[in-house]
Amino acid sequence: MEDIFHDLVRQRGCAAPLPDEIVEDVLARLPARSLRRFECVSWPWRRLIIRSPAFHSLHSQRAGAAGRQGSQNRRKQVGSRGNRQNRPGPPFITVYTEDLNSKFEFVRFPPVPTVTRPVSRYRRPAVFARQARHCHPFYAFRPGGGAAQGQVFPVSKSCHSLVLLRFSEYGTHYVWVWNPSTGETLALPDRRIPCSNNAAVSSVLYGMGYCSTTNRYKVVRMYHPDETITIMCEVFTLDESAWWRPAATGWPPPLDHINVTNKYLPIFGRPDAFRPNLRRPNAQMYTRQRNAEPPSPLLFVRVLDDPVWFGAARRGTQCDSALRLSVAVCRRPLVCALRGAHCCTPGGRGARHDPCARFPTSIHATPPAPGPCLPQRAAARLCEQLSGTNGSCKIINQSPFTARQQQHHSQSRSPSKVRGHPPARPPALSGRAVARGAMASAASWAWMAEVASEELAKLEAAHPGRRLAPLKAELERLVADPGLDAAAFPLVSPRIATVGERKRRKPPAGGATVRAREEGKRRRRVTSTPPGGAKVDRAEMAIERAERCLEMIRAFKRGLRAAWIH
Amino acid sequence: MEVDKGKGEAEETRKVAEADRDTVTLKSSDGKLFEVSKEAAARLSTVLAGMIAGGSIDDNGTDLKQIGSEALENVVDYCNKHANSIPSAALISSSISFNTAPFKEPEEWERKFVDRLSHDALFDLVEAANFLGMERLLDVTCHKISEMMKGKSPDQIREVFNIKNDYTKEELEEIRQELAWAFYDD
Repeated sequence: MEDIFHDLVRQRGCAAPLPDEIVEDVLARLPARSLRRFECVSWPWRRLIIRSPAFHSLHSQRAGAAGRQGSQNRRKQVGSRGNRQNRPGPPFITVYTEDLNSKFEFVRFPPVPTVTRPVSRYRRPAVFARQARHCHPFYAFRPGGGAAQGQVFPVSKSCHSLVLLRFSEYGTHYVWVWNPSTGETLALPDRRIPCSNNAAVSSVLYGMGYCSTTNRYKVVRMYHPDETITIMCEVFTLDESAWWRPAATGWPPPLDHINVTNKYLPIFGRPDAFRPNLRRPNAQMYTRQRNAEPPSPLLFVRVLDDPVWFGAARRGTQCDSALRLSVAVCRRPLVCALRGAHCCTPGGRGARHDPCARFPTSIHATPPAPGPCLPQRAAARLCEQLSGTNGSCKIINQSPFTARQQQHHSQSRSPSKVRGHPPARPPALSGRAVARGAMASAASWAWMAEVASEELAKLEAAHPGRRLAPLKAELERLVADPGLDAAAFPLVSPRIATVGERKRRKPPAGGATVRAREEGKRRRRVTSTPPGGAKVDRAEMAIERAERCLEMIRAFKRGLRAAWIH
Repeated sequence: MEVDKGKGEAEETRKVAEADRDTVTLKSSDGKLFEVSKEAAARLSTVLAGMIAGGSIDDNGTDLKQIGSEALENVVDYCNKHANSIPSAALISSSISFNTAPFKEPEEWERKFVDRLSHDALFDLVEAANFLGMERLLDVTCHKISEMMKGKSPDQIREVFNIKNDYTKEELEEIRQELAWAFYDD
């Protein structure tokens, strides 16, 4: 700052330098494009513009305020003219593909209203018409020739001033991170997805999020590497990663840490929030990532490996599945991620032909609901939508988790229905999932912790004073660390336990537990008539049930370990 | 007793008279005197408000050595105009916290006020506003400067701000290539 200061000494009567805060203040009011241009003015300015986090936050504050005012004004104008698409915006953006050999330029919608594009005969024309009207603001052009086949479309709404763009064409696809306020783009290293078939490549889900605590942008992709239930979830951290790494294992931190930015900016508008650089992965980043701890081969416990908020949408707004997925992911990390992924299982019939699973049907989504997080009820509703009751996506291959989740929902709504449902089994017991490893086992730890904490609480309630040392100890240990005696599982995170304990949801109705509980209930009903013996009896019952639960968990663990070893 | 009472009364009347004086006299670095209404000064400038509250206002002209007469004239002009225009409550509240309050667009008269200033006068005014802690005036002037800067080339900026170009030719070329997109017209 000091130097900027001296740079600003002017040739006037009193040659006092402009105070640094004034320089900063003035620069923070500039639009991003001008600001980047003024990097050329001098080194101190460049340092300030690129490196000063304080300046960035000041700028985004100012830009946020100005942007809101600007967009309001613009909306008024637009409304009077009745033309949505004439909003000012960057005239075009240039995007380089990964190998830098081919270059695309994107032209905004108005100049090319009728671009030729291949209409797949497998898709319904109605949907296409809607897409054409709403959601392809850009068309890809190769500078040398005509229109490229395929379209570029934003995968996400503006996420803290960055937008994820995707271009897909048969056989190839590219994903870019795009800064609409500056026009910069960064191609993600996305050509090589280890999918067994080409068709699967096009159904990779993407989502982008911004973590306000660590100030990082993360892009997440989910796909099926082969025609199985296994889901790969990989994360690319902007400015850090050189390639996609598997999502870290463990449970996400409590949701309080998630800061929702409500600066969602319209894609059509001209957001002026400023993010200095989209850095291409360089050699240094490669070495750093190579030397870093090898990511666990097990995948998919946690889609968000940092408190990241993925997009936002309100009920009733249509958005692409990646966005939906993201919203859901936040609320119920594991379950909803599975649901979202199932929405577009490549092998799934309904999903494959459902363009909603892949294309954004509308990017004019209303701004997200204010507040720290999606309200629970909205999230639940979203989950229901995702589960295919009224949403356009259908779950083809329901995982035990989704089943459990659904049961949980119906349970909480009408307890009388519970008996009608077949009791869901603990997740890993469903054979194949175990063999597939990662997600199932990780999930089952959570399940175990949950069951154990449940039992422990019951036991505690039934015998406030009594010491049931070994039983309680084992349960407690399970709660604290469900995988303590299974060193073979590198997945286990101690945080799972705290989550499980804190949440204390309704019992997950795991097979044996349910049976035990129902048995208990029946017996209680029978035995509750003699008032004298009731207390003792109930106590005995609780112990019995806890023991049974423990036994079940042990068996379950054994099964898991066996599956793991094979 | 009576004498004491008389003294007290005299004191009181003097105080009242002082309080009744509704202008503050300000003295620029080159000795010119300007009068500004006390109320407007206290409302618009945190520094002057502090001085008025602390009683360090000199009847013969409060010395403001850092501010030239031209800038001070503009400041006083701004204060008077501001007093004449009906200040909205939002305007005042927005001028309370610097850097954090959302910026409000300058009103018409404020825009006119800064538009007629030359570069140098504007820069002087920014400094004066900063010195006197006049947040709203600072806001308006900074906004004006940033508007002037929009769409300018780096060379023009260097000229206006009188900044030395400390890049080598190669460096400059490199940056320009890197930021080619930023050089398209806004």
